[in-house]
Amino acid sequence: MIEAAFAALGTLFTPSTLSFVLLGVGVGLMVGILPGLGGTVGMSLALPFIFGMDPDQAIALLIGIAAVVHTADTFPSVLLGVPGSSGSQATIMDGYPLARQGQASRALAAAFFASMAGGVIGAVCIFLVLPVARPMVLAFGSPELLMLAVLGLSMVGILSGDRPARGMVMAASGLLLGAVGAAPATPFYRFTAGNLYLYDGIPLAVLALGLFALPEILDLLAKGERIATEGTQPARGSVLQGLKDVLASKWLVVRSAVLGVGVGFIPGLGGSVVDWISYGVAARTSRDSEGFGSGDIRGVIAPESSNNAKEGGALIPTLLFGIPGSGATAVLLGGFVVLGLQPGPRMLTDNLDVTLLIIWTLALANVFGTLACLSVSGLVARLARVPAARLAPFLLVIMLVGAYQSTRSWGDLIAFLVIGTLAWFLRRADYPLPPLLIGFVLSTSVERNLFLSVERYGWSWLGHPGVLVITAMTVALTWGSMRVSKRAEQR
Amino acid sequence: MTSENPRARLPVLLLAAAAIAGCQAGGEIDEAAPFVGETVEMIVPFREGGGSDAYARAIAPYLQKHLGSGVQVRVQNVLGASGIQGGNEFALRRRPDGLTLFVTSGSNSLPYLLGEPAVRYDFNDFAGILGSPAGGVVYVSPSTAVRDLASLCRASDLIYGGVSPTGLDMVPLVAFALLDLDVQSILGYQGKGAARVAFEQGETNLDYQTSPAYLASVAPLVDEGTALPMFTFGQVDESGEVVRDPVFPELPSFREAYVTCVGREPAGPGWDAYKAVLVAGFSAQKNIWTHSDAPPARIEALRTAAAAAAADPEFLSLAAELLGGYGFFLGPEAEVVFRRATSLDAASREWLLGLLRDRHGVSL
Repeated sequence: MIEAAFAALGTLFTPSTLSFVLLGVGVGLMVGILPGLGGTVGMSLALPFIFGMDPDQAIALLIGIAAVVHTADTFPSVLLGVPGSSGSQATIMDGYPLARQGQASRALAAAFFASMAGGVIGAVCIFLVLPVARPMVLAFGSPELLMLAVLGLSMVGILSGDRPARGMVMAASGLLLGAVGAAPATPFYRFTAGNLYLYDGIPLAVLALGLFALPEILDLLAKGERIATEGTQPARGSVLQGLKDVLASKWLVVRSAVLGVGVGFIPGLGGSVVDWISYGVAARTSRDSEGFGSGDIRGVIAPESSNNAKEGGALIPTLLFGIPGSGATAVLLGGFVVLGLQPGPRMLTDNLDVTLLIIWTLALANVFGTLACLSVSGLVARLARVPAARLAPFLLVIMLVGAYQSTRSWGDLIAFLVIGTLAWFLRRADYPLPPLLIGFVLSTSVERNLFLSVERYGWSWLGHPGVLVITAMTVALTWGSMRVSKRAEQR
Repeated sequence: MTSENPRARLPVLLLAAAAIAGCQAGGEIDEAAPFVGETVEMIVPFREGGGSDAYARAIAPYLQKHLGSGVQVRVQNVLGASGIQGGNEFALRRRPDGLTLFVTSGSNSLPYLLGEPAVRYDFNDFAGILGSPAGGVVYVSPSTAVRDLASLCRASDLIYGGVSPTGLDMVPLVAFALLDLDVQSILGYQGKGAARVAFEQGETNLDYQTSPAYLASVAPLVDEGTALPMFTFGQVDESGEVVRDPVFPELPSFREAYVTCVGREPAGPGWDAYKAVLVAGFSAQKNIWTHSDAPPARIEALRTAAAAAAADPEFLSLAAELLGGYGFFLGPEAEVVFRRATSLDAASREWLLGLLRDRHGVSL
């Protein structure tokens, strides 16, 4: 396998393949920066062009895009408090407060270095687990997937701040919102009121933009202020500071990256929660965690390490089983079909060279992406100093375009405005919004896997070893965080 | 335009006049070259990267090539309602000028067949341009008591994993009902890929996969001895018979499986229902249509171009990978095959709805 790995590296370092990696990185960065557009959109844009392309180059292009979306999506998350893609939602929690404190450059630099480390660790992880990946994926049946989704839901606790009851209400609302549209196992459409737009449910990007973007812009406009309310640090020193921050929490980076690979690796869990899970775990297991939520740099580093690593993990079920682990890998599968590659066990034998090329591309694109983002971050960080009144119309247009990409119908725009307005009121009433999003993202997973588990096993699945292990982890994490918050109260 | 200033209306009027003039100019079609200077749009009712999208994008350049110079063929993805939205848009909002094509799959024909209320399109208003079949193979785990077809019919420990009782799973579900298999059907998996993983995990032990997925992911399991192929769904040919799948000539078709298990040739409303869902879901899986009231010269030109594309060796090698090596139904032939699905008689329809209601709790 080592020999094959070097042969694949040779393929990657031919000028033509390398130039397609760069092209992919360019597209991925653009798509990542624009709020609401994620890897799915980026790869969809590239897909029509790969017909008739050399397979190596086409793969370089597609993986180049997928690898760096979660590097560039940090810009809007940190600078504007608006998720650049579904993978950087949790970055808002601490990234945006840092930007408001004038530390945008530091937060961005830390995020980029964390992204790069996460991406490279992700690539290394999938290389290492490749030989044993099939049995590992097969260890997760419907009951195990259900309990993993429940573990994800338990993150609601830490994200509700000091209002756990409100957090639960919001999470429950999210679960209900996620139930809109077609039911998993039957042809029944729920809560659609006969409206065709709602048949496929509310698109995630529309919900995420509506929840976070519109209220933020409204508030900025209402107060008439800039994003950075305090003096801005000089850019050069803060890049170095960001690198130092990442080095200081190197174990957090490794841990979050491995977590990201793990979540991406498990098919059907929905890669969109990885950043929240990683944020939640970091907040629960770090020392002096009271600062989380108001500008702790570790709250940026954790999700950013894991969202890049996730794309690596998500490739495993995609390549070996043909079941996509994220939106972007779903489109990648389409690209494979076009190139005449069928995912399956042969990706480890006959097509091993392709698999290895993908891994190398993933690692290299992450490095390219970080360098590109760092080189422009000083410039882009100045956005935080532009008065809101000038920035808002421009942002609103970009967000509407981003929301409209979900299904390209009027429904996207209407849903964005309705959700955004409701979210603004909820925020005013001091209801935490992240739990709503978590409930929404995990809704289908919970429902589907609960249904499948009970249909298949009755209630005996509750005794499956995997279920017991994951339940124990959930209880331990929840108990740990309750203790932390109690200690914080006593102080 | 609510402006009170009459001058502001002038450009609008001019534009409207120009648009009307443009439409009229487009109405006159040169019989010899009915598409010159036009853009043909193919509506794909799914996102970029899906099977339908890949198929449409693969054939688009070849349609363009064979429609002659000066013609553009573009793919447009119209998303929503699991493929129904695209059909509604094509039927209700696009003009029948032969410049819009609609690429359908089982997700369009099966809800139509079942009378899903959201479906506002009618395949009887469409003219077939090109059809291409798909196939499916049913296989079972050796962890069961099953060793061959005869023991499949007697087995009592079968668990099938599927996606939705009204999707492509209807074909195996109808097949199992006709064979009177003792099988527990668990529906709700995220897709056929997830259902195959459940099979490999042992969560289920009976499954089917479409031909390309079977060749890539199940054939290695068969070699390993962890999966046993049982039968193919078969193909409905032009005469309406269910014949062996050309990609798996060594495997019995469902008709043969029925004869083995039941001991006589299949007949009756259940059998007609099977053939209808088989056509809608597999035998006429990917179809390209235009409006049947489009200018006849354009329909004819489209059919000729599609036939030429379907014979183009370059496209054939692409299609072999996408579709798994099946041939094509050309123009009217595609329609004839497809109409078998849509002309389901009342008794078969009742049988099908009864099966969904009684065994799967779905009342339509």
